[in-house]
Amino acid sequence: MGGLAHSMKYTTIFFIVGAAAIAGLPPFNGFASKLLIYESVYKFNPLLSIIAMVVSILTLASFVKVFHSAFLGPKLPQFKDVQEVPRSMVFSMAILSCIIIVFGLFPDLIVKNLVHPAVMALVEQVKYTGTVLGGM
Amino acid sequence: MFGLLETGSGFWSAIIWVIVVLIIGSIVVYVRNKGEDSYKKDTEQVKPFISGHPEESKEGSHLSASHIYWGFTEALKGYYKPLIEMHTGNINDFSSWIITVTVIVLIIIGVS
Repeated sequence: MGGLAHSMKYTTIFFIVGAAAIAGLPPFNGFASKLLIYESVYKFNPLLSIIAMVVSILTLASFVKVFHSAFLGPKLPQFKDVQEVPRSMVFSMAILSCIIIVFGLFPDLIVKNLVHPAVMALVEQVKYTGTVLGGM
Repeated sequence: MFGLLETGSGFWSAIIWVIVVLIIGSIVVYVRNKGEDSYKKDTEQVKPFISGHPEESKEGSHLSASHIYWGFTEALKGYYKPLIEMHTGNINDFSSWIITVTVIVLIIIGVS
């Protein structure tokens, strides 16, 4: 494979966003998540944190490889008829990419409204059970 | 501040990061646009020079992604080759590896 970026421009852009998020590159959502994991794990055991960072670097390396081999390079003759994916798929990828960027730029929204309540539910199990089973 | 994530030891703000990247990027673009005095367009100096060899066709000179890692795989050959042999494609082997690594990680967690 190679050179698909010539005929699949939208897919290429959304692939970069998704790959960067998975690899934990700032400013995408994966970075904020991984930063919290690195910090909390480092306090517990620095070795595990280092392992997590190495795995993250290898993830980035693997996605660079995938991106380079599939999308970069000159337009190859065997892929001259390749066209962009249908609009519905572009739309789906666009929505997911927007969510990735918004979550990445404003990670505090997710932590305050989703993560923190979930942690508190774990810490205060009696209250959580009471809230869930309150009506019974 | 909006977008500020308190991590316990410090904070992370993607917005500040984006602003810093934009400032540095602007400086880079400014320096690049100042140009190079010795550059002359459409002369011999802008043609690719591959140690005297003629340039291959664009299609024939596509670098595979594996070439990017050649330096790493060559330097770490002793470590890399056994890893390739471990990738048997057998799901039982992969399951064994997952279990083994999980056990090692759990032991590390248990010991510390």
